[in-house]
Amino acid sequence: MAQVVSAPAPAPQARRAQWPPVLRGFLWAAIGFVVLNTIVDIVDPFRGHPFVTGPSATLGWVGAVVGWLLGVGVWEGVALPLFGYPSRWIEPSTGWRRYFAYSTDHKVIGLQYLGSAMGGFLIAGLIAMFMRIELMSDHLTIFHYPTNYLTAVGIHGTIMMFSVANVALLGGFGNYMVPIMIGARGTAFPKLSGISAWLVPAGILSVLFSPLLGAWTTGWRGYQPLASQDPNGILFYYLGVAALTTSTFIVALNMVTTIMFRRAPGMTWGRLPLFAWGQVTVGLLVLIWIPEIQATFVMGLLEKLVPFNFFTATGSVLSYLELFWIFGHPEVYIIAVPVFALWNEIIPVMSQKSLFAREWAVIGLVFVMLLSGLVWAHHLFTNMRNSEILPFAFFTEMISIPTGFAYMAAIGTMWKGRVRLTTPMLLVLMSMFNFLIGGLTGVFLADPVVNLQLHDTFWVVGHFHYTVIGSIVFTGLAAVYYWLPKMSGRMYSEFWGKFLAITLFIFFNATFSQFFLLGLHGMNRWVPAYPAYLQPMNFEVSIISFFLGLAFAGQFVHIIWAWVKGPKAADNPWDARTPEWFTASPPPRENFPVQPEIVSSLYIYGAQQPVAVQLPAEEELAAARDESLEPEGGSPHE
Amino acid sequence: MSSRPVSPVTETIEKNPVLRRKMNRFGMSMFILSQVIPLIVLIDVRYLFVGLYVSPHLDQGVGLASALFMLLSMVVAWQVKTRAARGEDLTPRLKWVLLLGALALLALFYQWSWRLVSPADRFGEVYYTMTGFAVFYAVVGLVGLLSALSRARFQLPDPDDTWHLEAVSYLWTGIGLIWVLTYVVLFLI
Repeated sequence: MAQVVSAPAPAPQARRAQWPPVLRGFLWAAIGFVVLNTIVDIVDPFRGHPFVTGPSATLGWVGAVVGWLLGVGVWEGVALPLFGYPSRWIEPSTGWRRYFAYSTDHKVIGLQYLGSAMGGFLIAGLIAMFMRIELMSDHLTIFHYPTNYLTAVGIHGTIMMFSVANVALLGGFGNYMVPIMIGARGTAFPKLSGISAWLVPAGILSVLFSPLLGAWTTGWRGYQPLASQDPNGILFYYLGVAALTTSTFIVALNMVTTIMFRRAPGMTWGRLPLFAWGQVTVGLLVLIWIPEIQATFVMGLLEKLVPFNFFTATGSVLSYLELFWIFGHPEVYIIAVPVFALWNEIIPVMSQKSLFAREWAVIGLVFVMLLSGLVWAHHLFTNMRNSEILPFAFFTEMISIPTGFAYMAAIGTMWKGRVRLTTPMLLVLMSMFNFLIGGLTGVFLADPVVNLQLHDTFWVVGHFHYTVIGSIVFTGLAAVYYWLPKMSGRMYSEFWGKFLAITLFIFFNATFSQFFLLGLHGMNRWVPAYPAYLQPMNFEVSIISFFLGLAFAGQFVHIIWAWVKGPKAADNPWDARTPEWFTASPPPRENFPVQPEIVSSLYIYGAQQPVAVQLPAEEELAAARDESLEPEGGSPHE
Repeated sequence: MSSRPVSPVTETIEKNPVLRRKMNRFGMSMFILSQVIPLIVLIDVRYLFVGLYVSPHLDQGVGLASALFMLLSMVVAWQVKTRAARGEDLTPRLKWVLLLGALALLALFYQWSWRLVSPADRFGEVYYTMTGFAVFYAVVGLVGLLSALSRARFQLPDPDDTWHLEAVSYLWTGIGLIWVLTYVVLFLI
C-alpha cells in the first residue's frame, strides 16, 4: 500500500450526522443543474428565451447527474481517495441504509439494481395501464393529443428496455450471484460498479420527467429526423438513455473481467456455471454494441440541439435507422441470452438430473451472440431492396437453431428426470412456452412477404412482448424465487407463488395472444385513435390487461412479504450444487469464510454425484481464529 | 468432468498481485478497445456524408500542431505506463503529458474559435462532431492525469502499488490514439 506523506489519517470516528445519501444526492443534483444551466445561459444567452433552454438543460443535466452521484456517496467513497485526499467514508456492512447509498459490496449493488429494475417496471407498467385505458376507446379520451399518447408509449418502452430488461438479470442477478457462483470473494471493479448502480435511477427519472421539456413521439428508438421535430423533451430521452446504457456497459466490463480473473481455483471454463457463461457472452455483446448506440444517440442529440442535418432529408434518413437497429437487434439477445442460461441453471436443480448436452447449451449461447449482429436489418424490410433482404431473412431464421440448443438442453434434462414443480420451475416452463410463441411468431416476421403486411401492426407488438416479457420477466421472477432463500434467508409461500404464477401466465397470454389477432385485423401501432370495428376487442384486451397488472403487483407483494416475514429457509433448500449454495444465507461480506475450491462439475446429479465445492479446513480454522481476535463493530472498507 | 484432488489456493487475486494487475490491465484494455467503436461509427459517418472532401477553411497547420502535441504526450504517457508496469514511478513526467495534452486542446479550441469551418455545412457537422468526441475523451483523460498528480502530493511512491499511475497513462495513450486517428481521418484522408 502507498504510504501517506502527511500525518496518519485519524482513526475512523463515529459518523457525523449528515443528510441521508439519497436526499443529499437530490440536493446536489439540483445544485448541479442550476449551476451549469446558469453558466450556459450566461455564456450563450438567447434573449427572450426562458431560463431553461435546450443547451442549458443538456449541460444542466450533466451537472445534475454528477451532483447526484457525488451526493449518494461517490464523493467520499471515490472522488476524495482518487485525488489522494483522506476520506472519512466507512462502508456499513449491515442495516437497510446501505442499500440507499454508494456501496462496493456486489450483493448490495445487485439488490440496488434489482430495486431500480422493479421500480422501473412498476412505473412503466403503470404507464402501460394508461395506454390501455386510452385504447379502450377508438378516439382520444384521457390523452388530449396524439403526441401525449406517443410520449407515454416512448417512456414505457424506454424504461422497460433500458432500465428493466437490461438491468434485472445483468446488473441485478449478475452482480449479486455471478461472483458467488464462480467462487469469488468480490468483483473486479467494485468502486466502478458502485457508481454504475446509481446511474439507473438517474436515467429512469430523466426519461420519466422528460415531458417537462415537451412531448416526444419517437418511441424507445429515438428515431431521427422525427426526434428533431419534437420539442425538447427528446433531449432528456437521449440523456436518460445515456445514463442507463453507461450503467449497463460498466456492468458488462465488471462481469467479463470478474469471470475472466476472479474464478475460484478449479473453476475451469468447462465447469463455469451456465449463468456465468450467459454473462460473459452478453458482456461481449454489450461492450460492442452499447458504445455504438451511444455514439449514435450523441449524434441524434446534436442533430436536435445544434441543429445538425445528418439524418434529415438532405442527409441520410436511413442511416439513423441502420445505426439504431445494428444495436437494436443484438439488444434483444442482450436480454434473452441470460434467460436461456438461467433456464439451464434452474432446470437441472429442479429435476435433480445432470444437465443434458451442457457443451451444446454453451455453444448455443455463443452462437446466438455471434449471429445476433447479422439479423438486424429485418427491422427495415420495408425500406430495403429485395437483394438486400435475403441474407438478413436467412440469418434471422438461422438464429433459431442455436436458440433451439437452449431448449434441447432444457428438455433433455427434464426427460425422465424427477421434476419438482416448484414456483421457479413453473415460471421457467412458462417462460419457455412464452418465448417459443414469441419465436414462432418471429419466424413469420422473418419472412419478407409476411413482414411487409404485418409491419407496424399489433402483431409485432404481441411478438416482442412475448419475447421480452415472456423471457426476461417470467425468468426474472423465477430467479427471484429460486434465489430468494439465498438472498434473504427466507422462503416464499409455495401456494401463493404458484397461484400468482398461474394467474400471471393466464392473464399474460390472454392479453398478448390477442395482440396477434388485433394485428391481423389491421390494428396499427403508434395510434391512440383507430377504426371503430376494432374497439370491442381492444376494450376487452384492456380489461384483461388490468388484471395482468394486478397479477404483477401481487407477485411483488408476495416477494416483499416473503423477504421480510417468510419462514426461515434451509441453507440449500433445492439441493443445488453451484457454489452460492455452499455459504451462509444471506452470504457474508466476502461471500465465503475462506477461498473455496471447485473440484468437480457443478451439474452432475445422481449416484455418481461428488461434492463440487470444498472449503480448505485449515484456512477455515484460521479465518475463525482471526474473526475471534477482531474487535467488534466491523472494519472500514478500503 | 472428473474430480481432482484439492490444490493449494494460489490462483486468486487476493494472493497473487501479478494476477490482480493483469486483471486491471485487461479491464482497461477492454474499455479502450470498446471506445474504438464510436470512432468507427464516426469514421463511417465522415465518409458517408462528405466522402474524401477536406474543407479548405481548415487550418492544416493548427490541426497538425494539435495532433503533434497529442502524439508527443502519448509517447511520454506510454513511457510512464511501461515503467509503472515495472514498478517505477515517473509521476513528474505526467506533468509533461498534462501540458502537451492541454496544448493540443488549446490548439483545437483556437481553431474552433475562428469558426472558419461552418457548423451549418456538411463537413462542419462531421468536423465538430468528431473533434467534439475527441475533446470529451481528452477532458476525461486530463481529470485522470490530475488525479494522479494530486495523489502524488499526499502519498509516497510505492513500487508495489503503481497501478493508478499505469492506469491513467494507459488511458491517456488510448485517448491520444483516438485523437490522432481523428486528425488523420479529418485532415488528411
